[in-house]
Amino acid sequence: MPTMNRKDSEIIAGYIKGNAREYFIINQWITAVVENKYWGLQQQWADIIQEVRMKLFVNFKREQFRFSSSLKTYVYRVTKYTCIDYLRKKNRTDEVSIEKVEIKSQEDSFESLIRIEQKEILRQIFLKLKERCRQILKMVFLQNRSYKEVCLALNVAEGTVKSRVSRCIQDAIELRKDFIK
Amino acid sequence: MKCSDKKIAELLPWYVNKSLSKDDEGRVMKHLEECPACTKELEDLMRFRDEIAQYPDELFTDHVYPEELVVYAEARRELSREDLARIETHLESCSACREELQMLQQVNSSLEAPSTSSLFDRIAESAARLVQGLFARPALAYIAVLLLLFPAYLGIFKGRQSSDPTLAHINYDLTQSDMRSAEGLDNEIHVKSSDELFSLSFTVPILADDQIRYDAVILDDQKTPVWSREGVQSLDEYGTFLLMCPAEFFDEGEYLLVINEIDVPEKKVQQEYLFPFSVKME
Repeated sequence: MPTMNRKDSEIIAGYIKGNAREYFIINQWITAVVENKYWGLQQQWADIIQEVRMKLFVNFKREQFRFSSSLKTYVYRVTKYTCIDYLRKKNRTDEVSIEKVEIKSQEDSFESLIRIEQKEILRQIFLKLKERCRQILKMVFLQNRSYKEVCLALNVAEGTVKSRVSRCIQDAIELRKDFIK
Repeated sequence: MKCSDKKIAELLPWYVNKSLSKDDEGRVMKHLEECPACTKELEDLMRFRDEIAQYPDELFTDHVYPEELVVYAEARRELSREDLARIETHLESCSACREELQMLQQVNSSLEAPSTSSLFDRIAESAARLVQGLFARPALAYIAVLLLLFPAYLGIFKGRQSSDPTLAHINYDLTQSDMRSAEGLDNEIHVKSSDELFSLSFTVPILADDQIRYDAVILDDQKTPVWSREGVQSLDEYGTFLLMCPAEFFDEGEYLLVINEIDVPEKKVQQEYLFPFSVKME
């Protein structure tokens, strides 16, 4: 397994401790991506930057940085997919009522790091699952379909569906336990 | 610990989503009364279901996952053959994802644009190429160019100092007293026009063996919030933690930083700190 270079490991260690220099370096990388003219997300810059900082903090603490790329590339990637998230949210929430927006802003602020951590863990679990497994979880837990309906959707026998679903859910829960450790 | 009755265990996901028939539901409920393994598994399932139900759009997107799209844009070799095929099939039919991919490619081009070297470097490089033709050994050519250009550098370019990133900074050291407020301490921060951030750090008289959760807000002299942040800080061995503030939100004037240290299990403010400071622009 490739090992992290010393400079990257020092930056991560300093960032976790809150050292100004490392914080500044990473902030420069984040800002370079977020404030790129192509995103069109000026009004959300501050929120995006703060969310990326928190994600990085969470992922560094959980040693989720993959050593196959440099730290700078990793920070760029986290920032880019966060920007895509915000673009998608922006497209979806054009119809959201003002009331819903106000309720969100009153959310207990100290829980936001916990929520970001939880969402990051779930996203990383779902990235590791196969597409078929994600479909199964969607049908069972989001759409609340019965096992007969899932049989029809997947075009498999009832016994096969039950064992396949059971296996898929076990995989997801085991992955979750690995992240929580 | 696993349940010996596999048939019942396999019904648990549908017990959670309440789609079982009355008969099956009854069988599961009866079984749960006497099977701790299935009771535990049911708790895990319900917790998992509650968590994923909070982020349906992100987790169950009909589009390519943003993380995968980013990797597809810049490092396709990292994707499995199966994932690559799935993403490419989706991109053929989804204009939204194609637009996002195009945007990523534009952002990547923008990030990779070469930085222009200094005028001195470009002149030195051009002169070295010219002189190289006159000297047999390139090394001599470069030395000659530098010797010729050095006086020019002193005269023309000396005024330009390359600047490492620096931060305007105040440190509040509260280890010598019980003060929660830093009034009376030197608390003026000088921010340059080129600064994007300034930092405030605090050395506090608490045990530095854990993280603290905090809630910080900066008020102007009208008591209007100018900036706020919450999060978790790790303390270094001296009990110091750090806030980074974007300079663009501040004008010259007087400000008050209020930090609430949050006790997470009790969900209440454990300690409040008040730090007045003033900002001077340079």
